[in-house]
Amino acid sequence: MKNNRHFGAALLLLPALLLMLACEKNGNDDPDAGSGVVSIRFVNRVTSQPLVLDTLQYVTQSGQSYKITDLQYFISKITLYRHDGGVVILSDGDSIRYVDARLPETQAWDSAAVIEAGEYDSVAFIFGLDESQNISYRFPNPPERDMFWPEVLGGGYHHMKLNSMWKSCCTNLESPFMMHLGTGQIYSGQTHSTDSIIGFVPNWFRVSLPASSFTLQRDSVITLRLMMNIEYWFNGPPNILDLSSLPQGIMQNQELMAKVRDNGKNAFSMSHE
Amino acid sequence: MNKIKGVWMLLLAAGIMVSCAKEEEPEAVSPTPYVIDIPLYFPTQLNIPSDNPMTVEGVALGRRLFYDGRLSGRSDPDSMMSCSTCHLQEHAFECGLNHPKYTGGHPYGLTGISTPHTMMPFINLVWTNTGYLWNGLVEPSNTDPSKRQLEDLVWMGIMAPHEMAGDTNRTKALIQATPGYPEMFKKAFGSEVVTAKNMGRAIAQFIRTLISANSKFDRYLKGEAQLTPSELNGYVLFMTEEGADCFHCHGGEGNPLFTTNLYYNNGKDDVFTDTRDRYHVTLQEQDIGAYKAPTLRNLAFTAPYMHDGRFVTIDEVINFYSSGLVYSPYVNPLMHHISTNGNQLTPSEKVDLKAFLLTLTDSSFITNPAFGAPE
Repeated sequence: MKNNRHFGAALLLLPALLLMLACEKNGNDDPDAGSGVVSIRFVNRVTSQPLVLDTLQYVTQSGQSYKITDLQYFISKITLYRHDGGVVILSDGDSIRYVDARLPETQAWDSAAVIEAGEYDSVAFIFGLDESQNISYRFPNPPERDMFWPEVLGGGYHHMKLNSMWKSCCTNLESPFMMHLGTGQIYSGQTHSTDSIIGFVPNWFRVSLPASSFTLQRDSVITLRLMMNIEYWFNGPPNILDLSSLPQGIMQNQELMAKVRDNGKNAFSMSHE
Repeated sequence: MNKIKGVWMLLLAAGIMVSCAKEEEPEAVSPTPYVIDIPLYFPTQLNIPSDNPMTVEGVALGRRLFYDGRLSGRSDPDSMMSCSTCHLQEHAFECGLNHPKYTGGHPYGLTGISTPHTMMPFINLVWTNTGYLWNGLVEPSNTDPSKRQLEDLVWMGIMAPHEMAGDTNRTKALIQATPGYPEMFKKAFGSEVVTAKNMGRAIAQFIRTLISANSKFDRYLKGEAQLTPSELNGYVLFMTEEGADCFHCHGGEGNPLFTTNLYYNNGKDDVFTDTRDRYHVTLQEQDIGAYKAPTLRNLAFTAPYMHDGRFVTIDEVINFYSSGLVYSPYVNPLMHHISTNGNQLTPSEKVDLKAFLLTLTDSSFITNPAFGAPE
């Protein structure tokens, strides 16, 4: 009977012990700090308003009306920087998130990770997939699968597909513009013959979000709204794209991809609730 | 003595009860799971409904039903019609241009009414998760629960006026009365009673086994075959934006189904009168004139091409994408060569692109005995 009582007490203590071990595993140096949950919302918008697909209602700085028909991209390694110097990379075993403007389920990430409570100074992430992640055939299933980037052009996956139609003031015809960002190619000659590719440019980039400090209270959930401000892809800074002078696609034009990439670095902001 | 007699009576009654109960219970069956080996780079997520797991017995039953003309609910040889009447293995389960009855690849039903569209091939449908038919009408989000799964499509085919124009009761009765079927239903589903639901399940199981993954291009990806210079050049054209740019809609090495299974207006027309396009499913304006991108696997066997079969040869299709695109406000941006009516391939590029497309031919698919009529 006495042994049974000891056994019962041990059973009661076990969950508490496991909980303590789990907290330690999360790197909590301050046992009183506690923890919370960080939830991410990927918000796509144009001039501060939620993106409306398939409607010719936006205007570039160059004066072209445009509509977005598809917007698909990868964001990875979302990193939270603690005030005390700690660093947390959000991950559910995989830090890559696929976002699709037509698939609401891709626009929210309620990470299961338990994050140490406290002050966080800033948030950063990688737009697209860096070399350690951009590995061909890693996504066999849709929708991520359909982001694959041709092997002959460098392989891996599109960082972003932004498909649009635009028109100038003086015509009723709409023209396509496919802003597809992925591995760029360096060609030895003037043409874009794949035989003359002599190198590749990864074209992913890191975004350190301005004004992205927040406080995670103990036992609470904080929602970070990670916003893509789509007009920046077209207007910059630093580059104003005049769609009337551009080809319809950029996958084989590293010069244009670099311009788009540089615009993208300024296309993001964050708020929290 | 009376007591003993009473006990015996009770035991006898109990025995009868147990015996009766045993007869009413369906006999437990344990069908053998049918395992699909996923080919290299193919999707790992299969579209198999949880209420219709694949079994060896289910597939065998489905195969027999697929090839059985009684499915139409008729027994007169002139009126019998099975799935295989139109869905011929030699044409990747389309009817083909040279069908003895359905000339030009345009099938019609027992009542003589033409199908609204040409056929789509039965290739790798176990990976289709975005709807069936050219317009994706049969999809999980359909408000009509009888039009959501491949299983439902089977019965739509049996009932449709432009196909078998059948009758559920007649078909069930005919199949039930055919020797061998009750036993097969019992092995597959635990009951000898033929039901419409189980017929649909079995045929859907068989269709899900129709996997094509042994083309020359598949072997090339595995390092087991080499493409010719012309095929390789065509492959580059297929995969590049400044080339033919086929891959955005039709996949490639990263999507070996050779279709995204999504819907596009690919610039065929500027007037839209078809009430069975994608728009009439979604009511979204951008879907006007849009149809599913079909797989390009086994293209050599699946003429005619496009939803209305307007192109009879692969050359015509290539010419269309090269210089025949028509502008409309609904054309998909992926048809980015629209301003020049196409990608303007040179004659030699057209030859190379066709050569590559033909590397997607999987002859073993159209000769695989497991996909053919049972003996």
